Amino acid sequence: MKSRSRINLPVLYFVLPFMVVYVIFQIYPLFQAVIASMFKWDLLTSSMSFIGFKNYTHMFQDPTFWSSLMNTIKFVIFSTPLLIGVGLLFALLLNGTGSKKVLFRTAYFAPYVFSVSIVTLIWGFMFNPQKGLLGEFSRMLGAEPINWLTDPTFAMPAIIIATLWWTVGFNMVLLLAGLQDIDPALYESSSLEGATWFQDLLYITLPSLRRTLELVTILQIIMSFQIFGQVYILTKGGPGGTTRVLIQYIYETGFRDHQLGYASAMAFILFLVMAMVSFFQFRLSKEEN
Amino acid sequence: MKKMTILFMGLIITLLLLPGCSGEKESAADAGNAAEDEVVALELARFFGEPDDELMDSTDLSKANSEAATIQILTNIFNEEHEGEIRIEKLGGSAWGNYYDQLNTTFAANDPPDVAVMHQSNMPAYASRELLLELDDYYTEYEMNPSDWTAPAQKAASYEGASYGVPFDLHANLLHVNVDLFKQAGLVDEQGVPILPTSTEEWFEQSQIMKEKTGKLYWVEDATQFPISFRLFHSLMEQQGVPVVNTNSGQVNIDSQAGKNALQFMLRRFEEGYSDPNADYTSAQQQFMNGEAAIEMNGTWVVDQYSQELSFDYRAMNFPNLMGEKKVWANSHMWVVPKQKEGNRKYEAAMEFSKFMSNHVYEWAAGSGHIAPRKSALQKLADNNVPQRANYAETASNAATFPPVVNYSNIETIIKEEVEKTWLLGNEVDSVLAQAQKRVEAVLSE
Amino acid sequence: MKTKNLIVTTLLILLAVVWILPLYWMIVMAITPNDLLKLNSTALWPQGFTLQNFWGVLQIGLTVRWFLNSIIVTILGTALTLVLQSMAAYAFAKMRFKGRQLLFSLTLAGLMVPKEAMFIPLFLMFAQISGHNSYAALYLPRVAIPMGVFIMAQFFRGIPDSVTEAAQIDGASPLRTFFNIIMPMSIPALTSVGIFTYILTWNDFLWPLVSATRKEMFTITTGLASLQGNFAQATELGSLMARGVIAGLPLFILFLIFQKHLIRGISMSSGGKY
Repeated sequence: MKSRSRINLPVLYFVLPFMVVYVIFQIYPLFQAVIASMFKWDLLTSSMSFIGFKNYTHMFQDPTFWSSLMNTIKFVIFSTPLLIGVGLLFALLLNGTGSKKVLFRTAYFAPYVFSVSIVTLIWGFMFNPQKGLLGEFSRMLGAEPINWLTDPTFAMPAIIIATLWWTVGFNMVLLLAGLQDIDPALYESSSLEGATWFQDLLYITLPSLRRTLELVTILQIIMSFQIFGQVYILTKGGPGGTTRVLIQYIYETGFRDHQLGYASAMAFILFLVMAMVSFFQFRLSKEEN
Repeated sequence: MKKMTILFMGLIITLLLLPGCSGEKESAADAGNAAEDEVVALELARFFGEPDDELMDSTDLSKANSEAATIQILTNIFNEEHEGEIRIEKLGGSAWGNYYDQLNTTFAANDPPDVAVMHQSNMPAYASRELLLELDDYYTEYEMNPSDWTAPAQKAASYEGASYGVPFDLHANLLHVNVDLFKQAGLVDEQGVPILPTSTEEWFEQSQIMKEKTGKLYWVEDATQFPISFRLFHSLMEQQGVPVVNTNSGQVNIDSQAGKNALQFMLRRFEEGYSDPNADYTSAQQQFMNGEAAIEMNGTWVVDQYSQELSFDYRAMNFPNLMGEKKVWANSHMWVVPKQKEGNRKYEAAMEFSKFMSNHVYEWAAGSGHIAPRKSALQKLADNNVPQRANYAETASNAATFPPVVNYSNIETIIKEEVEKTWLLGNEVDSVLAQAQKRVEAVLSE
Repeated sequence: MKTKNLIVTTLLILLAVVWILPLYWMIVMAITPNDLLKLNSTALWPQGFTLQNFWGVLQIGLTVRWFLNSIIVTILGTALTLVLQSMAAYAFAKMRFKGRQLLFSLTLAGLMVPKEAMFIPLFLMFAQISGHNSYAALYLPRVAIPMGVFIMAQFFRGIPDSVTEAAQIDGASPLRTFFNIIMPMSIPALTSVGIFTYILTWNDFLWPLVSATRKEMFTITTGLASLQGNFAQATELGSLMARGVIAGLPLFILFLIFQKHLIRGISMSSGGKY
């Protein structure tokens, strides 16, 4: 009996401060939003009327909802491996001290310090066939410049490229932190046995990085599901709505069309999708143990 | 451990107390002026940006050479004229793109600004929800003269029979013309004024001639970024006498012969290479300014910039009548007075401000390039020979604002997205029109 | 071996050029007069030179105040996040208690909620207590975003139980173990969380826009946005770029300062976990 109370008090110390802030500023608004999904909630007048599951039935018949969800899923599938792979490459190559490594790390991370508005401003210009650098380069090489942001084939790749440029530093930094926890002695003993760098990578580095890789993967997937800013400013969901992602539609519904109830319902569905994906990922990693 | 705990607790307490010594709350700004308690602090919401620092306190109208400078100088003059009575406090720092996001949260919290600028297109959303003061009686009380307003301006300020705004300007699409290129193509009259097409066939004839004689693009517009294609579609529908939405009957006319005519024309220009289907706002402007396109379809807000900066002979002209009546897309900035809770109402001060602004629409038009909503101001602009204004004076009466609908932004996006599918995705005109019709009808029936 | 190094280095240099090029272009535009950029924005070499784009911003009286606001909010937000969230993470990773799994899942769930959905309820909450236009309104919601908990928990899990058990045997309380032993071991992870938090807090736009509506309370991001006229990217491109540089430079410098803590030098391994 005594030992149980001894454990609980420190736990309180550690967990409570954060939990208080979390419940007040995250859980409570979230709770309100979930409830709101069963209401018609007008942003401007704050008037609410209960409509049960009507928001959800409307959603499942709404072609824009489905196309937005599909675009989000497309983005997640194509960008996640790229963002993790390149981040891992950079982390592996740039682990360690030395001013050259510092220089490279800074170069790849630098875009992350800028806000989405400046990043999309730069890339909006980069991608523009007449007024951007990419167009210039194509013309110098004698090729027709690609209409990145207005061609349905290239619009999503353009967004992925801009996102990669902007956020790969995040994964690189996390993976670097993870690399620090690998015992150097492991490498020493393997080099004594004459192992190549590839064998080191496969049998020491990657397995030791497993925990960090799981972290990076789940974070990357969650963040990719919530992509919005770059799309909204670069293509506004175009051309012809082919890059509209779900968060953009949620934003338009709630803020532009003043329908907060419907927006909340869609946000809840997105949440469920993410929760499902995370659940499966946890399952997978547990089985690998 | 004890030291740790004390330090830690101290940190938490300090941090949580800090909000107490942070920025002011709503009324604190007035606390410093306890002596002048009669001064009404009028909360103003507007976009338009900020001028250079040296103009922030200026009252010199001769320096008003941009939207930002003009509105700031006018506000300063108002503050000066009403010193001791009313003081304007600008709310927030929104750029144009986020203005309504910020404004909407103030409505959500039931604490909107005392006076705000609003677009005609957005006003119905607020008026229909009874969030704005009806101003008809106030016009009389404040001796404002609605009959001096042009017909489009009066129309813009009203919704379902009542008026909700004090018109500040109309801004419409104009043609910005490179006169040198038109001369080179031989498309000018004896005075050297460019001859604009009066039908779609003439449009294509001229663009053909332009290509042959100069090798330059005939026409450029932002085809992809802002909803310019929506505005062009609306303009062409109005010219045919078929509004996109008939607000009396609720009928949507997108999927119609008129709609087809409009969209087919828009698409044909791109298909035949006489305009750039991938241009966005900046590249369209650059092409025009660099002399690579003879005409840019853009708004009234660039007139002064072009007058001052272009190296070739430039003329701002009325949007051409291609399909029937003389009509062109327009929107309007107006001052609205949100309703306030009892005890928080500053309606009189708000009306003083709106009246002041209405009395200075001449300066606003001269400083920004927008079209004045008052006949007296239009006359003055013509008399004073303000650059280029005479060349598009007719737009003041051709201006056709979009029918007042509550879900304007939604409809605007739908139409823009659907019509651009014909030149960006290669979709068929008929299917696009049908799809747009269906979607807009769904929005209107909500 | 040598060729491999050469290939790797060439690749790194190529990629670094690709990564830096857009930023270089941004700086070129920032020092070019706006008028020249209206006609041509593709030049990689400045078409003209001016410091007016920067000067115009720095001359504005309130810029210093905006910077100050951003700094205060960012420091408070980051400090609170690092302390509160890593403590919670430690409990989740290393302590056993009833409901641990549930509470942790609840914390993770917070990451999966689109903030656009919670935006208005959160806004109204502060509005009801007249809490807007305050620092607390700007930094407290940041501390509630559980990314740090998730990251630190994952790293703490990697610390062998033997470390905590040894400390317990020595008579150290959990708090002392945490602050004196665990935290120093976790510098790289803490540095990452710190860097992410201060960057995200500093660049937050929509929330400060609607919450801090008085000019004196603007952050540097909303303050700079307030200067923008319509169609700014066509008429004042150089100024826009300059403002971007101004807003991002402090973060960049901070990264340069703190990034060495991301790496554990070999000499530190004796103080490390093994």
